[in-house]
Amino acid sequence: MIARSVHLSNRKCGIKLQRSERREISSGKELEMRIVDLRKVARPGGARVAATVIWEECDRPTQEVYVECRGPAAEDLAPNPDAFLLACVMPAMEYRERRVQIEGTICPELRNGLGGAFGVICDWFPEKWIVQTVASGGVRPTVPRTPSRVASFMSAGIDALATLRCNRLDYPLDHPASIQDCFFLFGFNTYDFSASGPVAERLDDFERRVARMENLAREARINLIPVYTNVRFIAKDFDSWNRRGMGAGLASVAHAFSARISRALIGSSGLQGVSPPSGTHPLVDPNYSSAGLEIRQDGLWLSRLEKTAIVGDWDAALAIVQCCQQHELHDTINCGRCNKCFRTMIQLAALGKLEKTHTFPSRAVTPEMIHQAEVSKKIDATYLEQTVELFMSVNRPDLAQAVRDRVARYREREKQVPRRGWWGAVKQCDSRWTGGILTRLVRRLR
Amino acid sequence: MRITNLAREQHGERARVAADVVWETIDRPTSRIHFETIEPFAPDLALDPHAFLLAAIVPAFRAGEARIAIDGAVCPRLRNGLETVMQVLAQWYDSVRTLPKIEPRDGFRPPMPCPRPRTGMFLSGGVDSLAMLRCNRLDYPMDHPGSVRDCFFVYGFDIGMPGAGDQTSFFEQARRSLLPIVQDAGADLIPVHTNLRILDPEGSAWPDEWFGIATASVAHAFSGRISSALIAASLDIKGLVPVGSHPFLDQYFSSAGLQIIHDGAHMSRLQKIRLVADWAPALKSVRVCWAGVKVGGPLNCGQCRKCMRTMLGFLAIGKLDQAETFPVRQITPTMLHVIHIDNAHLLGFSNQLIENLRAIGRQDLADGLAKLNDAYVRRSRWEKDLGWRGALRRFDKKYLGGCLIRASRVVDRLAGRSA
Repeated sequence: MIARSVHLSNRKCGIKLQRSERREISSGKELEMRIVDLRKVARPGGARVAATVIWEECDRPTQEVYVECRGPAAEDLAPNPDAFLLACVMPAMEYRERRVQIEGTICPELRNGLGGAFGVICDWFPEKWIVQTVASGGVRPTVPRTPSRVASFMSAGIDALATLRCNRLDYPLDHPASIQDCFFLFGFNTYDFSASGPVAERLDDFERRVARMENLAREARINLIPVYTNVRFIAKDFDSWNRRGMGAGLASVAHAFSARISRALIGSSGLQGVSPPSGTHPLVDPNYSSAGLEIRQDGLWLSRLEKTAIVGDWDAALAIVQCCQQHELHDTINCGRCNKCFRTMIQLAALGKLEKTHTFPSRAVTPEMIHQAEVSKKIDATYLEQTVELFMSVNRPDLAQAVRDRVARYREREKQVPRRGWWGAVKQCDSRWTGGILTRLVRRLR
Repeated sequence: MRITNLAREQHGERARVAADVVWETIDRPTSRIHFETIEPFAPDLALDPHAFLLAAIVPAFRAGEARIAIDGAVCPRLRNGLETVMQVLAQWYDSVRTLPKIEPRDGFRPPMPCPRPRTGMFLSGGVDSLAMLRCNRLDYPMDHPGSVRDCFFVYGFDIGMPGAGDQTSFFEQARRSLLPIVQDAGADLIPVHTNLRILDPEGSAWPDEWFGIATASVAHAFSGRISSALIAASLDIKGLVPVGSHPFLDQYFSSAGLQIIHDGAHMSRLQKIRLVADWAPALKSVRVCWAGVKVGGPLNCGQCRKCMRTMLGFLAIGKLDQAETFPVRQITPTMLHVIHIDNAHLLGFSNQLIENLRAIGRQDLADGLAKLNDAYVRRSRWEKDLGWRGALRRFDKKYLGGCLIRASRVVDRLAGRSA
């Protein structure tokens, strides 16, 4: 019976089972990830909540997934099954586990929400399938804490800073919707962990960032809570994290603090309206809420440029803004060479704010920099294009023209990339199965 | 647009909150819109500017009003949410409309949520709302703040829509039919009368842009009573299409004091029908029909497309004979002609029906539905230029200036004449 239902659900999702998988199903073996031994342990100056993840379908060793923090907030850290379910459910999908079984009870709101999240993700990525979740203690709705308390995720990037600033401008400090806690995460960056664990150099960077944030935290009257987690490294790879897993990962950290907060805000990406599929998305993220904790994307009504303007008008934020994910430079924080840096510098320059910040190695943007900016996606072009009018208004037609040229170059390239027809199909096969050899060959011949 | 003269009034036995809607950009007479309820619930009817703002914003947006000036304060969360929603609507419908600027007389100020959280929902008696109520009862203990305590039944949305005449008697009949359900669920049934649909007399905005936001406006009229309101999902999340009540949109109708939740999108329609069918009071009172309004008659006509789809659902799970509100007990393939599959959501539901109908031995109905599905898929592929025909058509458009398609039309016409 189980075999039949699994088979049907996979067929519905358009997945052809491998022979070995069919054999295992027909033999009645259930392929499931197990999350066991949920615990809270004391750590120097704080606490850690952790769970053991046992993989069944994929060839991965048993892992510990954890969320850790120091200071008074550690008292509110709890080994909440909802948190660990969220940490593991998307990686389970990526590794083709069919079921996730977890110790304890989960909230029915989250169970239903995961159904919704998987529905959207399977629509976006038809090759993905729905992972069933089973809690050993069944379902029981969590109760929101009273009085309600709001937290946001803080990365020191434009989106997170704009979320905090807007909240401060809109709500008095004593309002229950006013942000009181900001989670500052170590472990969400690609370079934070190596195979042997957290990278010492990155940990040093992180501690410096925490120290740097103190001024802003004081001014904004928030509790900055540094959180250390390896949730990101349960994910299969960067692509799966970036396109499907990040929202659930962020929500998992928030759920570990569900005794402390009743709402967690995730800064939106600065694309107004319905944005393209992404790991953290306004249609998906609210599905990671429970009855006791609401997860919400914030700032969707603002474009990236509007957000940059909001941050630019806040001196304390401008002094620490960090969009760069590279190893930070001692003098200027941001490398000033990567795509994210270029993008932010160009926007700050358009707003006349770049010269006021010390966080980038260069205080001016040149047409050459704009020409060098990497524009590989429509989003990049959108962000860049937003600056044209501003450059014109500050009498920098050279920079406006450089932006127009760069965007035009991107669009021209886009036109040349066939998306449909037989040539498109060949290109897709080539990039998928033969690593792009054919495309490179044709390019060379041309 | 100006929303002014917000006032509490009495209208017969019903308490009313009302406001004038004055058009500024277009030449339309001033309308007075209202929300009413009966006595036990009257003290909880709030003179909340948010209710009127939500009621009027889509008509204002569509009419090209440059601003909405409103008496009172507006929550910044709602302002931000409405900006988001208008951006999304413009994106969906390829519109060049601009968002009217919201100008509250008393500025932007967040309201405080109810000190004691309380959840309400909208109950129409249809499959979506009944399944949502049932799901809530199965998932939440009664003393949980997320447990539904109030069910709003609205006159002026489907029953009593503009142009339909006075349907208060039928509304009363439908309300009575819901009483056993809410009694079984241990909730209050709150009848609400509103005339907000007069702001769009043609009714063109309702399905695509307005009905979610209008539903939320009723919830805000009770912001003194509830802290969150559930709107039942009409679409399964796997087959989402742009529509007025949508999981993406509904969350943005919330204020700091009242949360609006789009609920139940994780369930397929057949799952919802199963939930309703397994709940005896709901099965006895389910009302999906908008066409068969006849006082004293059955709640459903049994002939329209909504009735037919729901009856097929009940038939597929072997419960049609117990669904007393449908006058039809036998479904034949000839009756399927009323069904029109025109989006991915309906296609998904139809596929589920086919599977279940075959399982109970109704090949005739399954085959009939399969034909409708095929027709939709063909049409959809044609519209999206997919498959080899699509490739040929693209080639024709690009390189032959549409010669082939014109030639095929001529051939079709000649063939039609000769036939």
